[in-house]
This record gives sequence, C-alpha cells and structure tokens, in this order.
Amino acid sequence: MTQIPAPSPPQQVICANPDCQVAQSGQCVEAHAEPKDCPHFGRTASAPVAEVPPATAPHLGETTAQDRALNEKPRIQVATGEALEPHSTLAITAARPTRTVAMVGPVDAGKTSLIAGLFDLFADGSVGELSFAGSSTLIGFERICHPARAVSEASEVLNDRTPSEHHPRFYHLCISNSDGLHDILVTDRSGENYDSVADQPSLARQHLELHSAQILNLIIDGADMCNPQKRHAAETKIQEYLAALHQVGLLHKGLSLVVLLTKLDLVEQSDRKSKVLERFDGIVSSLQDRYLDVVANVLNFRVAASPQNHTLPRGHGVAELLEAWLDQPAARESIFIPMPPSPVRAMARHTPTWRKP
Amino acid sequence: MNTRRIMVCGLPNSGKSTYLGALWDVLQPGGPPTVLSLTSRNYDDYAYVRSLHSRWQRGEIQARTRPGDVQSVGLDLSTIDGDAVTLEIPDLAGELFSNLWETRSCEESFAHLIHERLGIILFIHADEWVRPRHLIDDLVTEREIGEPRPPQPAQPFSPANSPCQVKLVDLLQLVSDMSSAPGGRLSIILSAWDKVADAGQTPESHLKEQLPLLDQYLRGGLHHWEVAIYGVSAQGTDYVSDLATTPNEALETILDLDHAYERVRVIAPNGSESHDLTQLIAWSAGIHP
Repeated sequence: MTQIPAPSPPQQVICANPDCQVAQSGQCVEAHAEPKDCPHFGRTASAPVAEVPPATAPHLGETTAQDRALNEKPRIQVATGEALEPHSTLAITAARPTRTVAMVGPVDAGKTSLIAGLFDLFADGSVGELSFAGSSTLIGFERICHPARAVSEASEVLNDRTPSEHHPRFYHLCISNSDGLHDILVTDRSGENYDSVADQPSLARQHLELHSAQILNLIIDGADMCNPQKRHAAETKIQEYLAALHQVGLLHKGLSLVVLLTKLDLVEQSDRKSKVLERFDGIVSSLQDRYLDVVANVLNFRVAASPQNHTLPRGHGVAELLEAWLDQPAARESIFIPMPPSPVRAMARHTPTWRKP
Repeated sequence: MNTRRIMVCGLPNSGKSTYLGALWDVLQPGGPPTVLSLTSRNYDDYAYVRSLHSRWQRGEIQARTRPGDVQSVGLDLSTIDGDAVTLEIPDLAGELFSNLWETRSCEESFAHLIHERLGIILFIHADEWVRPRHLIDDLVTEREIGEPRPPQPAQPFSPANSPCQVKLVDLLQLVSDMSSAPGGRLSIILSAWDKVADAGQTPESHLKEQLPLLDQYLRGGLHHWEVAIYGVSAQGTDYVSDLATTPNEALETILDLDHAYERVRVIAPNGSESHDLTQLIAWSAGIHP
C-alpha cells in the first residue's frame, strides 16, 4: 500500500516591493513574465528595494510612508538662491572686484522687469562677447522672470511690486569676456523709497546701495512720459531725487549716472512718441549740464525689457546697457553695513545716521 | 586596491539607470573594445546592476529609482596599461537633484557623496528639455485670433517650473561649492542621442543651441570645469514597459542585433563613434587622458 504523503503547507509568496501583489494575483507588478526573474521576488519587505515601477510610482509631491521616514534623516540647507540681503553680498565682494549697480525710480517704472530682462538675455545665448558665468541668485532671477512667462497664465505681463523694505535686494550676475570674470550686483528697491527721498533728503543716507554703487540708474517710466498728466511729475521727481543725493554728498566722481527710459515699446506705440523722445533727450541734457562736474559721466539708454506688444523685441537696449555698466571700473568694497534705524520722520533729524567711513 | 567614486547626476528621466544597465553589457566577455575592462568580481555585489541590465536586455523601460535608495554599482576595472581601480558609482534618483533646486536642502549623506566624489557624469536627455514660452507671445496670438484672455492673476511662482538649463547650472554650482575641490572633470552625456542624431549636429553644438545658459557657464564659468560632451544612445530606440502587450517594430529590430552591445552608440568629443561606454568614466575619473 502506497502511503500518500501529507500535503505540504503552501509556500508563502513574498516580494520586497510593498506595491507588488504577486502573492494574491501571481502577477509581478514590474511585468516580469516569470516572477522569479524579478530582483525583488523572494525577498522580504525589509530587504533593500531599489526601484519603483513607473505604473505604481508615486507622483512627485506625493508622500509615501518611506518618504516620510526619509524626511527624518539629517538634512543640510544649501544657499537659498534668492536675491541677497546686504550682509550676504560679502562673499561676492570679498572674492573679486565687483560692480554695484543701483536702480532707482518710481513705483512700477520697470526696475524689476529690467533686472529680469538682463538674466533672460543670457538664457538665449551670449550677448556679444559677454557670457553668463554664474549667479548666486538663480532662484531670485527665476522668481522675477516668472510673471513674463507663459507658465504664469496671467492675462497681462505685470511684475509683482517690489515690497517696501528697509534695505534693497541684490541680484548677482557673474559675466565673462576676454578680460576675465566680472561680478555685478544689481540692487532693487521699492519705488516708494525713491519718493520718500524727495520728501526728506536725509533718508538717502540710509539707502545702503548708494554708498558703494559705481553706477546709479535713474529710471524714467516711458508709460508716464506718454501720459500728459504724469509726464511733468516724472521729470520733476528725477530732478528732486538727484538734488537730494547731491545735498547729502552721495554724488561723487566715482559714480556714473545712467538715465534710462523704460517701456520703450509703449512709447513706440504712442502718438506722443516724438515728443516723449525729445523731452527725454532734454532731461538728459539738463542733467548733464547740472551734474557732469560732480559725477564720472551721465549716460542715457532707452530700453524695452519686457514689452507689452511686439513693436520691439524682448530685452531691447538691455545688452547695450550692460556693456556700459562693464565699461565702468569695479571696486573691491564691502557693502555690509549695520542696519540703520527705522526712518521715523518726526525724529529723523535728531537720529544719528550712518555715514560711509 | 584604489577605490574611486564617480558621481552620476541628472534630473529625473535623464537616462542614468539605462546607462548603467548598458554599461554592464559592454563590460561582459565578448563585448566591444573598451578603454576599461572588468578584471575581477571582487566587489561582490552586482544584484542591482544586473537587475538594470536584465531590463535593458529585454528592451524594457527602467523602473524609476526611488529617492531614498542609494544603490551603488561597483566595478573592478583595469586600464589598457594594467592599472587597476575599483569604481563605485552611486545611482542616485533624479528627484534628489531636482529637490535640491526646489527645496534648497538635501540629506547629509547626499552631501557627503558630493564632497567625496572624484569626477562627475551629468546626464541630460537630448530632446526633453523645457525652454520657457514668453507670456507676451501667447497674449499677442490670442488677441490676433480674437480670443483675448479674460482678466486673471498670475499663478504663483514655483521653482519646479524653471527651465532645465537653469536647474542644471544651479546643480553644478552647488556641487562645486559642496565639493572638497571645486570644478574638476565633468562629462556631459546627452542621452537618447538617437532621437536628435539626424539633425547632423555634434553633441557640443547641440548643447550650445538647446541649453545656451548652461553652455556659457561651462565654457567660462566661475568653477572652471574641465568638460567633455558626449552623445550617447544606450538603447538605440524607445523601450517599452512590456513588448508582449506593446508591439514595436523598431525595438524588435534592435533586439534582433547579433550582439546586444550593438544597440549602444557613443559619440566622443572628437567625433569618433564607438560602443565604448567606459571611455567617459575613465575620463571623468582621471584614468584616461
């Protein structure tokens, strides 16, 4: 009589991939015809799992239990890549001679768009013999380029207003040409601060970037110049602002003044175009008469950094502006300065203000 | 034996795992002439690279590498001159690199890998990069066809939407800053080269045209990289999840080649073409001039 062996208990099917249902379905989630060919098959879930099949992989942003566990591992922070605070510029100014480029002008005059346009220029290729060599503020540039990109899905090209902060933000560009590397720190400050200097000239001393800038860009809003109700104010403001800087001793022979007419695309479309351009030339001429003995030079450019139409290409005039900046000598000078006290108007005249040593 | 570590970087889906799978094939006995040869199996842990190789042989898409799993491929190699070296190549998930851009942080162990790396191989998919469209172009087109967009505010900024070339420049800047010595040898691999080869460009001119910001940074940038740009087709054509359910004539032709390594095409910086996937490792590690 043949003894019939007792049936052995069914062998437990295991797989290291927690997403695999091979035990229930017999099908390998990684689509191996023979589950034993899968590197995860036969291992326990605690064994190392190298891969997640595309079909079951969590989408980026989804959190799995494993991801959560990973988040508990020690992490380190890297540089934020955002626009720099004044004290963070030290690493750049200490490493190489740097050009500090101050941008001043009224609210919505196009300062931030111009800085974004500068970076965008290099995203399409070299500018003449100038090439992009690096930046400590790539996230900052990307942030201000965003409103002019299709991914913003906005109904008009409109940059976010620069917050009215006590100190400026610095955008860093390193540019190379046959002479070597050139670091540029471009400052962005709210236009509200610009207006307040005309009200109270002593506040200009608290504009840290002006103490170390080699280039001072004075922005004239092309849209305002096309508007009869606003154009006189635009002219007056720039004169008042410069008078305030002169008053507190911030204009000097190491400084280049650059007068910039922005939003040239709107000027081109305006029926007042010839008048606007004539008046702009008049302003430049007047500033040259008044300040050429005080500063290194008075230059002027017309730009359309982020046009609202197709009359001019993106970044029109920006390359020439950049080349003019690089023509000015760089300085090895720190712009790390103790934070000045908040400007409290009533007490301002009695508050000691910081002076450049 | 002297162990050197090569860092393989790249954003998600840039072809890193596919390359490692194909590399294992090229190193097998009977493979094509190569600068580096597999001399022993002393490393004693080939399960991971064999799983990549297995998928590659079958013409199947590589599974996504999970961010938490730092699997390494170890290879005991020797040069033509007989110099022996053990190379360790961690296969890091592309998300680790994209997260570095988006969250500005990484695990300490990842930073340690960067700090210790000898050379770098950066993978870039030859035809899957994103160049941003300008909003004004869309708005003008919509106006011209009489369908202006209704007033709506801008979507908030997200670093994830940034162009590929900006992310890659940032990655190389961070890697250089975190390394014990900045710069060094950097191999750029334009993967899936078969998809763009018909345009008749060299890998170098293709990179310059498609990723101009990265190209400028590499040529004259702050960190003085010593760069070699390769076009690599490690598969020969698109692979599929399952050939049985997704018939593919081009893939069947590839699978029918006498030797699996014949799927591989490497266009070197000097324009020469071969099946040798080891040459760029040898150059990155400083073993090969």
